[in-house]
Amino acid sequence: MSAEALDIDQGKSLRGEMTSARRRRTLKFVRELADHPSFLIGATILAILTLIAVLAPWIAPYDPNKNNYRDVLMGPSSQFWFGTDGYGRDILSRVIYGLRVSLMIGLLVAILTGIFGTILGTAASYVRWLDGLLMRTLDGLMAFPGVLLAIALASALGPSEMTVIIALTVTYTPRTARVVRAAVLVVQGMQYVEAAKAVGAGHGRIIFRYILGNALSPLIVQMTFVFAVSIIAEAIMSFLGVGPPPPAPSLGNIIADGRTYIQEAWWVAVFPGIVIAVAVLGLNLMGDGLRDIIDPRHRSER
Amino acid sequence: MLLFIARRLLSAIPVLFVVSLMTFVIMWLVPGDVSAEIGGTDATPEQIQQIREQLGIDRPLLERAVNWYGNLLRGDLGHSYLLNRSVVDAVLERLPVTLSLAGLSLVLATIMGTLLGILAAVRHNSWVDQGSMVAALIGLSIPDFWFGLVLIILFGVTLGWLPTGGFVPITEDVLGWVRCMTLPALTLAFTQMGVIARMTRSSMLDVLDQDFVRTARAKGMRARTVIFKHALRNALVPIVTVVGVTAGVLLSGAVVIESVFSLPGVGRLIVGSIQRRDFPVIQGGLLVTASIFVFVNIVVDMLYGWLDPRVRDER
Amino acid sequence: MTMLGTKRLTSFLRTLTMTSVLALAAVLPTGSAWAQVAGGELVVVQGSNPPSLDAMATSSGASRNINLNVYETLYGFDENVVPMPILAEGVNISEDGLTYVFPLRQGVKFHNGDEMKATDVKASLERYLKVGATPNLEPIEKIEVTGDYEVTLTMKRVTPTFLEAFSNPRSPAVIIPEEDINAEAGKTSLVGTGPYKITEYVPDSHVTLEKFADYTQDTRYAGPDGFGGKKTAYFDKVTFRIMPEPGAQVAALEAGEVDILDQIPVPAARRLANDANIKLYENLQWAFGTLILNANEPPTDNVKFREAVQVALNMEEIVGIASEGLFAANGGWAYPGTPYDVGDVGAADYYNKHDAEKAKALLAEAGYNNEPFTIITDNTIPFHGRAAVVIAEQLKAVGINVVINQVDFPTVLNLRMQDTGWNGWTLTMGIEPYLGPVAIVSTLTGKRPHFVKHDPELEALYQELITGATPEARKATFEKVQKRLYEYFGIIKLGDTGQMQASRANIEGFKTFRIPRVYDIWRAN
Repeated sequence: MSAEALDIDQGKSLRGEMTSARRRRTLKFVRELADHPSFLIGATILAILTLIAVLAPWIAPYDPNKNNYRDVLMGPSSQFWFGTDGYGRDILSRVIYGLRVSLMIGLLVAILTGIFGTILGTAASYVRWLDGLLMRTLDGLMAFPGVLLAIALASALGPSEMTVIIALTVTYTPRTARVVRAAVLVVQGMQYVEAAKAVGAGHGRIIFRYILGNALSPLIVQMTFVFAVSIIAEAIMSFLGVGPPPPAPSLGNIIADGRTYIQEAWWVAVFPGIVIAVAVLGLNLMGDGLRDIIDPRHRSER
Repeated sequence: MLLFIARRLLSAIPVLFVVSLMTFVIMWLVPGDVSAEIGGTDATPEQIQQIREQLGIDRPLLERAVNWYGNLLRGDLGHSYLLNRSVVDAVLERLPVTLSLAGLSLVLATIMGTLLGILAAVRHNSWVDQGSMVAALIGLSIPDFWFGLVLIILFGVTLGWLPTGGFVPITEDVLGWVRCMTLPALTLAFTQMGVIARMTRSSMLDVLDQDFVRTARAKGMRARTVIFKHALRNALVPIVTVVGVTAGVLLSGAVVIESVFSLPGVGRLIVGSIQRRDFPVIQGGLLVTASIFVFVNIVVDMLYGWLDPRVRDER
Repeated sequence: MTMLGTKRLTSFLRTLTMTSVLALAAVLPTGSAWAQVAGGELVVVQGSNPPSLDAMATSSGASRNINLNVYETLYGFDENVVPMPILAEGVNISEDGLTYVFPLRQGVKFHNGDEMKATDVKASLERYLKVGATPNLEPIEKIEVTGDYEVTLTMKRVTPTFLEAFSNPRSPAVIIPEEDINAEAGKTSLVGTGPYKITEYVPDSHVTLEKFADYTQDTRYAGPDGFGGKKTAYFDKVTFRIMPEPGAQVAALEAGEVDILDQIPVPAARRLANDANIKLYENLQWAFGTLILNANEPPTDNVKFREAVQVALNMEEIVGIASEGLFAANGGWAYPGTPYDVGDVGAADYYNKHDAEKAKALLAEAGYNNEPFTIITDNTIPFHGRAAVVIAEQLKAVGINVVINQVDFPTVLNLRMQDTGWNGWTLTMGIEPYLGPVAIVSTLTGKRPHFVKHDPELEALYQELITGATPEARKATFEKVQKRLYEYFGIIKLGDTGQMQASRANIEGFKTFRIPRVYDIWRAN
């Protein structure tokens, strides 16, 4: 047997060991998640809210956009559980549909920042000459106050849910990219990646199989937080007049609409406010749980 | 150390260049220009064209960009189309407001966040821990404008303790400054303390577990002394890091808080300028805020090195 | 100085003035309980910055609110919107209608101490022709100084409505010192002849006015009247605070930090209706809510389609919701009871019909095939956005494919300047209906009518209107105008919307008007 063949053989067995180790780790991870109280609470909250959002057309008692001049700013009652807004629209129905829009915005921003963050972060850490250029650009984006960037983009692109998603994606991608880059840099130096390189695995294979596989955990944690932050950011954009356009409800634009009547009709802003708080809290608890489990320093403490 | 500072300052230049370049791209994307604000609802196309020619907004973007960078090298950020003053003046007169707000809320957020974090870490895995962490999270979970308005009604109207808005420079009346900044700073701090509380908690947990703290305890030092003297000092590193990140967020948050509390700050200046298409102010304002952000982060890095010699040596 | 810092100081000053007034009262024979009280500080709140304090160069209402307490014009409107002399003694119009001679009041002082003379007037009017924000003075051919206190205007053509245009407060033809003649727009010395002078402007925060001690009262009148009359400044200092959040404005009023809200949300006003510390002022004839249709762009290029929109709408619901309940469902193009009110001529068959059947029939007749109907609206003026939302729901109900495009104000103004790309535009007309028919019709004719495509018939009526020799003749023409508007359907009158204002209960003498007049009001003891 030639020395070369031996090397390849060793590489194979090394890889085999690694995959099974990963599988074991994944199993352990799932078990730990099921065990973690704050993750469980957060996940349950999110599941319920998602269910409400998905079932909106069947749950909502009224058409969320139906104006009713006779029933403007009515307090909570058996007819309108959450009261009505300045157009006489049922707040409960609007909150249910608004949840749909807000969760969709949050989820899409989380996914898109995840994708772009991964591409940019990996590129920066893997392709040395790109690192400086990419990181300076991302630093520039980060130095740009997020809200202002969002307003400017919203003015440029016109109002739509898509605009909100794009603006928030641009705002949060740099942070995600940094997280990925940091994780990849750590992994890159590790022995098994060196080993994979040594046995001649292709760049694509190394990136997808070994590096990204290991950057995935911090990335998921980051995405959970981006999801949460985006829901709040949507509300702030609505406050500044660049949120999802009327008449479609989002949690943020219902609150923004209701802020003028905080004293006269508290229900307009308070009910969607509670739902936002619950959603964001749920996501944060989930993220905390994930991070606790992933971060080995915290693992022992529990 | 000096070399390090110099290097960091130099590396800020490309970052700021990127910021200004992005501003140009956005201005190119944004429809409409300041002529609408000046001309009003009933302006004729001829009037609009005349205004555009007067201000030079009818020139190609590239030409305007080249001119702007040329002037920038001479230290001139140009003149506002609408405010009747230079961009530098427009931004500088607003800076005290925003810095007051960001600074004070950073202090408040750090105090509240650190206390919550320590509390949670010391009473680890108890209801105090859970409670503090949920409290920390609630600030992150409520839109700040809504929280601000509730505070205004509560402390401004119902209790009548604090003014509902406006700004008093600290140079004029210290007490007035404190009174008018309390509610806005508190609102902003409330949204930021969660991050600090969580970071403090986890780093405190790490530190409390380390040998030297155990030793100190074993030697019979009082628990409080141990926590504050040893543990907290070591836990400062992540706090400082968070402060650096938060500084940028605070400037963003200031945009909303400034309009809820009627504060004439930089955030409102820039938002107003975007809405009115006062391009020179947008350019200059964003450059200044970005510079502050970069500067704060350089300071944070230095603090970081000072607090943790290992980091400094690595560089 | 900033208002909050001075709050303590002010209350101290207030006590001082109160005691001095009390001391005076002991000496002088006391008047009624309404006795005016001099001194103190007044704080007025408005939502947006004045874009400019150069009165003639801006048509913004936020500027006008402040400027017309600071500057004065030769002629201005009285309480009944009839031109009255303010800085002029009067006017002599020649038989042929081509020469206007304005003798000036003597001894009127500018804030800088100089006396106003004919040269200042000439300079001001010439500057208006260059930087003025309206074409109101366009008929002027020549401005001559014909005496120290006399200015003569020569007209290009006979313009019977010139004096109305000259009195127009929209971008008022204010008189400023001759030295400012070459100042670019927005760069004057801010000197005027009014009862208050500007001392400080901090954008996004406040404008501070100070009582002008040497103000020359117009003793021809008994008291203030419209924009003129005998004005008396009681407060030593007046601050216009800029507060963008309506909720915060109301809170500040309730807390007693501010004295007057230029505009209070109607629901808040209702809540405070029985509050002994607050007074409310209602002005039902504040603005027209309108929906402008682009007659150049399909599907609104088809008059049948536009008619369908008109008959489909339920105006009570639109204006009721958009104005938060302070409105009148009036289809006429003049306020009820005003000189040009011609009732519902032309409107009777079309206004507030919410006739879905007829609308659908008209849509079929127009060959409407679900093309998008895009409404542009802004997020600056709440009425605009709310009206757009309600209109959209109503039009969807009759089968029109409505898209709302809510953007910021500059974008709206940019979009509406395009001939295509939009179909509807919600706009409130505040000053035009106040000024009367000419002002309204001028926005619908000329170089760029709001509804984009010219209506030759309306153009002809506009010429007839501005050359109508007598008010009766003009009213007859206006009746034809209103009828024509209900045939062309380029602009749809939604209704009249009101303005609600509020003050602290101890503010006396305040009357609702086009601008918050800060003179002849005072704080009761």
